[in-house]
Amino acid sequence: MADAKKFTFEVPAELRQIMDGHPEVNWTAVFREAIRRHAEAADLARRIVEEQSDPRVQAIAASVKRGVGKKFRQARAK
Amino acid sequence: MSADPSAPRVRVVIDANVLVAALIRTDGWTAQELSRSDVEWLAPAFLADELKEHSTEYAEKAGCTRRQWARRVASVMRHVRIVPADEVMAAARDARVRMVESLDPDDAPYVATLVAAGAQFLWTRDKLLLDTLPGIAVSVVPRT
Repeated sequence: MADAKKFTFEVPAELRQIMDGHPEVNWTAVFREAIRRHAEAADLARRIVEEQSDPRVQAIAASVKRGVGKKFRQARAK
Repeated sequence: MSADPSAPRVRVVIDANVLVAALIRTDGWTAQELSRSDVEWLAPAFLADELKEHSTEYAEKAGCTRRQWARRVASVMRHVRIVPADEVMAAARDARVRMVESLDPDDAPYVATLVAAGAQFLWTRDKLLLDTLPGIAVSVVPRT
């Protein structure tokens, strides 16, 4: 794997015992996949928070939401 | 991985918050998501009308000219199918719309659009909607 970085993990003895009972499992792949999922989820959450904390997004979204709600109620009243 | 073009697209209603995030952060994650080909994005006509009617105010708040704002709106809205107002209003008496309306009247148009269009999801960041419609209101649209 190009530019791969090596990490070393410590796992509790009891977990190691369970893992050792399953030599058919590629634990490195399991760790890699779990880390990938968590890293992507954390990155996505950061990007969403970044967008939502933009004061322009907050101000305009609040106005638009009120305006759309008003139009809906006016249409209902007709 | 690109979506199978022959697969039926999932229908998703977007609310004001999501749309505005795409309009302000034009290179952001929300704007990127709206270009997904496995989703048919939907919005009530009221939302498109609101953006057009108050373009001067919103352009000013966004820190751009009215023309730039109009260009951004056009660019984002080409990914979104507008659900006509009469179709949205035909769904206004639905129990889910009434329920959401009793909690926040301004959320009702999006739920009515969801019902009118037979959409599977409502993409929102509104905590009240996410809590009230679990499994339907989502903050991330699942990949098919």
